[in-house]
Amino acid sequence: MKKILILNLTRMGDLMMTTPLIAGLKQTIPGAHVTVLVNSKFSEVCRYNSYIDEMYEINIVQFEKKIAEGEVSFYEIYTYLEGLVDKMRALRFDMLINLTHSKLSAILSSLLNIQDVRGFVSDETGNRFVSNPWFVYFCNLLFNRPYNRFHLTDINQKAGDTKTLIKSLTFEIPDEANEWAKDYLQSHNISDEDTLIAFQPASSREDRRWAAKNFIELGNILKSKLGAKVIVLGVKSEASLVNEIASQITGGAIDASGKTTIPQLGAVLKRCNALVTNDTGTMHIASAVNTPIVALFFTHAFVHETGPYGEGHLAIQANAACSPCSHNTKCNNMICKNYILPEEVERAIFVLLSKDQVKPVLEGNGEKEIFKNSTLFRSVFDKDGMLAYNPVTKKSLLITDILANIYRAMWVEVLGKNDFPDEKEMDFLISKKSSTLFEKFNTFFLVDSGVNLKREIEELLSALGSIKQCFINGGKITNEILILASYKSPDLAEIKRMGELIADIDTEIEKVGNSHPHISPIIRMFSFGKENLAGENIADLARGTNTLYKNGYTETFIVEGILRKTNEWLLK
Amino acid sequence: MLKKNLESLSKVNPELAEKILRVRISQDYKISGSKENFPVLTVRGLQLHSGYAPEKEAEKIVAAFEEKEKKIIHIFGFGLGYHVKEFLKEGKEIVIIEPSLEILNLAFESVDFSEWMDKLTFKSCEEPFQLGAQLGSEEAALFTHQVSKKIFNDYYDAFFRAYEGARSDIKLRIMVVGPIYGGSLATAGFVENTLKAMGHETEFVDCSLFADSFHKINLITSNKLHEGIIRTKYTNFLGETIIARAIDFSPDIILAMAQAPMSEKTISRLKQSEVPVAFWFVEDFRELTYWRELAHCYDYFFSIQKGEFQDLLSKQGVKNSYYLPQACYPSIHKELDLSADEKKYYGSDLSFVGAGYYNRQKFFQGLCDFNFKIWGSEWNTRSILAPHIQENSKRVDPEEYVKIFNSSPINLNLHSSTFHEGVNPNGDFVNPRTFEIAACGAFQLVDIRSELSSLFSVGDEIVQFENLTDLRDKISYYLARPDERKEISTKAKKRALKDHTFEKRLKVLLGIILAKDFARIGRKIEERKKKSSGINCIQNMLLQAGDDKELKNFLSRFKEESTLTLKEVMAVIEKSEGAITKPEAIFMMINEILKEGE
Repeated sequence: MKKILILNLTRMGDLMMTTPLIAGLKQTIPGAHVTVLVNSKFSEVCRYNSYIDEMYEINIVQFEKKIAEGEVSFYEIYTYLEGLVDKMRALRFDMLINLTHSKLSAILSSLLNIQDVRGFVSDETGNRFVSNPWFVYFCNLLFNRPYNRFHLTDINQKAGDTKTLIKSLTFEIPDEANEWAKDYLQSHNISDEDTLIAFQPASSREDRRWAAKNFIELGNILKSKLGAKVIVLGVKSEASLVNEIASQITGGAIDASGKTTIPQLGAVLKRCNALVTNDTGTMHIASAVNTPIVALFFTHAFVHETGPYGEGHLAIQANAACSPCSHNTKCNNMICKNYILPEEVERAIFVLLSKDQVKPVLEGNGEKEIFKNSTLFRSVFDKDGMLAYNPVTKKSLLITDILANIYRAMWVEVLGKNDFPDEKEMDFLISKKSSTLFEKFNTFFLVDSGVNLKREIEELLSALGSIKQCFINGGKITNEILILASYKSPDLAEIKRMGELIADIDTEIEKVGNSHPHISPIIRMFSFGKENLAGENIADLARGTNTLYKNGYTETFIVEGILRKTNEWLLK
Repeated sequence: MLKKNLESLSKVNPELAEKILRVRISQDYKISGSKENFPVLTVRGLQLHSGYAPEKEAEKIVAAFEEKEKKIIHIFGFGLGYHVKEFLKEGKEIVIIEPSLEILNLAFESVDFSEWMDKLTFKSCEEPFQLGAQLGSEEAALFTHQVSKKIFNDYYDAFFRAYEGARSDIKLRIMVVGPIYGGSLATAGFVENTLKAMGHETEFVDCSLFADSFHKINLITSNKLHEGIIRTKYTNFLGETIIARAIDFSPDIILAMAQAPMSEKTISRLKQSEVPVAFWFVEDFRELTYWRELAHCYDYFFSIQKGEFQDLLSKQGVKNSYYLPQACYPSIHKELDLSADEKKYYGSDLSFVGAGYYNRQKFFQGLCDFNFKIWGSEWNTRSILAPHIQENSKRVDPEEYVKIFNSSPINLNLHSSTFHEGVNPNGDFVNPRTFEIAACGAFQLVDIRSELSSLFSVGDEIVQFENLTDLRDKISYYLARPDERKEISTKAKKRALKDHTFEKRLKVLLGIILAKDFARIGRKIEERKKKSSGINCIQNMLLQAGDDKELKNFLSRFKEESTLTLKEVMAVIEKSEGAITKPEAIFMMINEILKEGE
């Protein structure tokens, strides 16, 4: 029996996005015993997942008051953490998947003495590294968000090497919760025939909250146009916001703040016809219980990364020139929060409930143009088996759209693969991927081969050509170093000289990458790879670097090939 | 008898011999004979020795003295010296603390000490706090002549408190405030590092971080009045920075160095928190005169000049002002084993390190025929000195100038002046360079300074010059005599390391402050102790750790009496090499958890 530990100290939504990985591991490894170690604050959702065999919690909340008052006893925390580490060590896991991108989790991972570790870990000297190509990709995407088209749930699953990709989140509602929800809604005069729309107006981060006035306006529209009933959800601490919205919707709405436990929340959601939500844990529970969702994405929230997981959901992404916010930044002018209009959400709900299409049209008497500053997306599982959010509102095809889609096509072929395809194989791949992409571009975008797009593509092709050559040169030199290092008495001076040549090549790669942000994902991936190289052994380092050059070459070759074909296609 | 004794004394301490000779004896002091016919002294009705057998009495009390094994014996109260003679029999290094010149006069009149004078060091009529702080040392024992103590009770009390202060191993929290720029910046660094090495907890307010902006203030406006306003506001801003740091650090003592941006308002606000605020003015009081406005604000004022300056301070009502000369920092100022290339690069027959002050630019023109290298900033590279100026007059760091001292047969040391043509004939204080060169075991020729002889034995430990002719003669003389140079520089080094280190100076400084301000400081320490007996006190944690050897081992890296802070823990972990231990990793996790909680 293989014992697997999943370490996830993140919030409820992220925990929900881990559930397909857990289900996938159970399917892939018969008899696998899956343990999760999670933050006690958000652990509740893990109790409703029968794929989880055991759960341990890291309970920092118990120290929170003392920490806030500055009276924390180091010894107390120390013994608590030591006890936890010892307990986890004693369980002798075969594999650890750390899904928490934090220093704390990396240190904890290193303390657990587990052989097969994936994700973020520290080595024995405290240096952090990332051990799996898909997790390296995750680090990459933090710096290249506009070019990412993989959902975090899929990245998790890919990193876990599961045989098949599980296409739904897991949240099993206990019968008593279902009963409770039924009674609760009945007590508020909601019958099965009613169209019940749930609102989740709060979110853990204030900057991810759509304005209360928008929810109120939306509630009024839904009630008047669809005859819908509205339930406003939230935990106890969000009561004032929930109350503000529920009380101001004409004719009232159900104020469910602080009324439900987590399973009861799931049960209520299950009985709703749709949920309108910010990017929240509630959204992921709703997707797990198959409630259709209209999700609102702005500031840091990015639909392609964390949109509702599952087919048929809708999401509106605000389109500011700076969207999405970069990782770890704090915006002081969140104009994009106002880019999503209540009328757009109403239209999305209409589409969701009627399974209709939507086009950017002038609403009402032509007074208000909808989806002018936002895009409506619908989720679908793509041919590669992973979730994709495709635009429903057709907008011009931009260079970022082209590259983001090319990157998805490329990464899925190269990440985690041990063999390097030869040029013939790559040419075949390029042709195949290109035709799929062109179909996608035609279906979901307004294609216009404007002068700017052509110029941008040509410039990128030239840059890709340069770095491809750098990768070739780097590969050759590292091969030579490998040969030299294999001699009994290696010529260290010559190896040093070659090391200097390598440094020059790497500088050139960085330089080209920095001056062409569109190809940054390849360059970053290469840089992260270098950071992950460990040890002092010349041969090992040369071998590792050689692999990175080969990876870089393959990645560039494929992207360049598809981009070239796209250019030709656009010209036609 | 007096003549014989004073003749003997004047060989080792002519100044004191002169004072003893000139003292007028009041009627309070009387000599009579004991029953066994030994002279006995009575002061203000108190008999200093036994009226029967003073020698036997001395024998008895010295025999009963418990700390005889100490290398140095400090004797408070000379009386007629019966007990001193007993100690002399033991062959100890003896220092006499005698507040009264009259007593010494009468003693030398009555008892023959002429053959012992070279074995005795007399400290008479010196300021008691300063003397106590200077002498207090773990290596020495204090013998108190009880009747002398009774007679000079106030003096003794001050002396003893400072003596104990200097001997104490109390670990203090000291905040050192550095200057924005200038020569005292290096001194501030040495002071902070020394205090740290002495086991005190320190916080250095490095105002030099703000130097760039400060220097650019003159570019803001051509209106001098407005520039002055901006400068004052900037200084106030720095003052507030100092206050903020003091609130954070909660020091027992604040020590500001010369040129620190301390306004009257800043000092007064710092004092409000019941912390003694001291100032070490390591500058020439005639050159920098801001002390006039500020000296009275400080609780303690230390200066590198005595005599006239101390009188001026006293006239201004500055109460706690003390003489505290510059010093050397042996961790940097030391003998080095240099490579041949380094010796060639840094060495020359004659070298000078320092800024190109007016008197130096003028004076050194007379030395151009020597193999002479000039190092340091602000030299006129277009002058006749140009061929001698090194590295295009770049500023030289201490680590580098020590190499110069170590490579040069003769190190020239000319105190700066902005208006003399060469040697300042009335120069008093001694610059840091004097101590630094000496500590390196390097040979120097230094210009005449009135206070030099109280710090080094001139001619034996150090050689001084009066003018260019004298200097030129001495350069030629000593260049030809390497053995003589070596002998002098070895003695200078020994003296510098014995008496003129920053550690010695700071012991005096802290000894005085502790003696005078123990109530306030003691309260702070008590409060801290109460706090540190709290949850994160190392002692408590060690107890809690019980059998956990790994944790105990980790905690042993911290001072047992201290309270653990994550800042310290992380600093220790960062410094440690090799694989991270389990306790280190867990503390790193705690750090992450608490950071998140902030």
